[in-house]
Amino acid sequence: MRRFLRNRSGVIGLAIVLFFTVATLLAPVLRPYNAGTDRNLAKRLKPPSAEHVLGTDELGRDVLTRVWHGGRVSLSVSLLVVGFSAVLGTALGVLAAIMRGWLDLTLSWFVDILLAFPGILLAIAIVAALGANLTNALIAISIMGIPGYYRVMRSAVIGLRDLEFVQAAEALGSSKFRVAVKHLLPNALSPLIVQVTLAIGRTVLTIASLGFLGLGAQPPTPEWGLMIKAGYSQFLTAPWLSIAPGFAIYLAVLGFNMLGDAIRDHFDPQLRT
Amino acid sequence: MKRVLLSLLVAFGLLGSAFAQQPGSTLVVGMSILPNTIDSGDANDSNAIAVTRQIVERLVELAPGNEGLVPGLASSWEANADSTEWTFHLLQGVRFHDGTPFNAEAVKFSLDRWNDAANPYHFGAEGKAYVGWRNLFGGFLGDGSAVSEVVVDDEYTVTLKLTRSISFLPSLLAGGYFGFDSPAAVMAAGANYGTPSVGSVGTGPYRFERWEEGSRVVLTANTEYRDGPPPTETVVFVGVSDPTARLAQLKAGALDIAAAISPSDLDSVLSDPNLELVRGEGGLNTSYLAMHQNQKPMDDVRVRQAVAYAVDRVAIVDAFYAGQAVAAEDIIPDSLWGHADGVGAYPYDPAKARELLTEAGYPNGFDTELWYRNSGLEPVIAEAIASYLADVGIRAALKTEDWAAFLADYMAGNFPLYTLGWNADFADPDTFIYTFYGPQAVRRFGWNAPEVVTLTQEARQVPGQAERAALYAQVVTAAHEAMPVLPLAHQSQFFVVRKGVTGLVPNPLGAFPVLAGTSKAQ
Repeated sequence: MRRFLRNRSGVIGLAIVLFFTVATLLAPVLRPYNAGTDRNLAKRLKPPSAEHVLGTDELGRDVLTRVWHGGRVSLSVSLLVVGFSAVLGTALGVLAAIMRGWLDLTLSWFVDILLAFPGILLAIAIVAALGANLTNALIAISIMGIPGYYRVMRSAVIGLRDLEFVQAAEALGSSKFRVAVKHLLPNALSPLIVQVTLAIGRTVLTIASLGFLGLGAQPPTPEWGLMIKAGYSQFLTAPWLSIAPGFAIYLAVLGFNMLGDAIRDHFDPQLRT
Repeated sequence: MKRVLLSLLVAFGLLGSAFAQQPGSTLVVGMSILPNTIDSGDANDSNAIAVTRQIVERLVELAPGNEGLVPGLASSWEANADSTEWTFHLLQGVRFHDGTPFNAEAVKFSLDRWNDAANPYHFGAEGKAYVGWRNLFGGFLGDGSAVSEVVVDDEYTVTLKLTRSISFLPSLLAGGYFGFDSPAAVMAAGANYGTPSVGSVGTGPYRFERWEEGSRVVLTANTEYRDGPPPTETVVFVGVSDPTARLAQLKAGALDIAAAISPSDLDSVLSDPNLELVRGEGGLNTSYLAMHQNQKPMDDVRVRQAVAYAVDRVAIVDAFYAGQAVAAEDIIPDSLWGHADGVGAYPYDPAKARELLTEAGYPNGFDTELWYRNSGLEPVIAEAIASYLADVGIRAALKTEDWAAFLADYMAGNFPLYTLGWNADFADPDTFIYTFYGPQAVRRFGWNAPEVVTLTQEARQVPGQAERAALYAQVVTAAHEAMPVLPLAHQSQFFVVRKGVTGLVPNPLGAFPVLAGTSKAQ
């Protein structure tokens, strides 16, 4: 832990992540306005002021409140997505590695096909087929994430499975699955943690991209990408509409990436001194 | 003041055409999209008609800047007693761009070509659909068409015989679709007439020069034009689909005239010293919130009335249209006749809305869907409406889909609530009353009121405006009670031009104006 704290960018990343987590959890308490329904058409598109620190949007809603609530949407959806694809990708990766043979071949083949598609394009195709809303975007991005975890976990487990302690466990009569759960998985966790932390930042960005394209969250959900989309046509007259959610995305992605990098350095044996 | 400005513009327009043509002068017009055809009879969107309007002319034209009619290729017209035969007296000595004469035979050629699916130049099998003709005249010959025969009386007189009385036939013929093409050109080009390779040939102030597919349509001045050559030598139409990009190009000087600019961008127009807003009077269009009665609980009139009370139309219009629209009182724009005395809009009254919902058995409101088109102001207005509905407990999820799917779904009654707009096809209340409350009402809104449909049909037959107005007043009153659709706003027509562009007069129908008198100071 002390070694991690010496990594300055890691600490900054951790601080940003903690800030976002706390802030979004407390959003309903901290902001006096309601993100969805506090319409005030007489006060629309007002620049930042004491009353509305980041100005108001097209319906006269408080932009800071919406950015704040947007954090709830982005972070909770990102965690769900990453959780889903991590569990599924890991399960499949470990399964392929311990079973080998035709199962490994088939799974790897499917994953290679998934990898051949650019991620966002695959997500757009899935959303276009299922219909544009946040749930479908969530499914699409989750599927998009599976190959990464599959690859990482499969190679990690393959690296471990011929080591002596694993062979010892097998020689003592442990089943393949017991070996996988008790011995292989715990030892392959560090690359998984790195992968997850980095993926959250990437997922925040993907969700915003789909929202911007009209394929993710639908209005009046306060979602960052959607807010940038609503504001960009008025960028010259009301720049705060896009800048505020844009900066929020920037900060969130930066935070998770810095944290992810630091964790990776932390686990990298070649960097250990 | 606006009227003064407008008449000044008209005056400049007329003066403009009297000036000698400036050699090499060019006007670049930015549209939302380039036409799909410039065969005017087969055109079915405003971008196509914007181009064909410069090339071909109609028997009857819309007066510049208002909804009146003025002579076009016909100098005068009259009807028999029951309006079943209409005779048009044509201008003499007019020639098409290819030099062939414009006469009664040419009028008959085009009318027969549009009306008769069996006509050798109809080209229905090749994909020409004549949507405008079908909508306005009820169908093709022998299959619903109001026109039974076109008779050439002499070289410059032609008579349309109708299957049923239509008292406002000249209004229909002023529709942007019905510009007269050179028969020789249509015969020569065949089904390719109106495509980028051959263009079209008419009698208008500009002639077709070339069409670079996906890029631009170029027209050049018709130096033989009967009112004198237009002051600008070349007019170029380009398609820029994003309104913000279109405005940016106008600001950069790449365009001289931009159509379909969003009212929300007007602030940045007004603050730019190089740009000017050209505004028309009383737009003949209505945006609306429909409530489809096939979907529960929209079948309950109290729920529909509650929706009408819940939405503050005036605040929405004030907020989003930048002064370029008025809140609608009924489905007919204010500048047209046909309103019912004493029947205004529902006032904004959320308490009354809640009361009605409670009466209808929804004290805690209900969940529903509000569908909108993803274009221009429509998303943000839908969001505003949804927030007003939320105030009284109606939780409307906002939904959208692409236009082709939307068209099919709203007509199938799949949307409980949806917002859309309607542009008049011609300057008569019929285009609103018949479209909204006529035989299509049951599909559009699930509103099944045969007695109202009968009134709309009767109003098409009686000749006098006073009798028609009395019938329309009954229809408007019935619609006010039953509330199948909540009219929201009538938007005025405007264009944004570079300073120095004069003689552009917007038309209330939303049709792009003829550029016969439009020029740019060099």
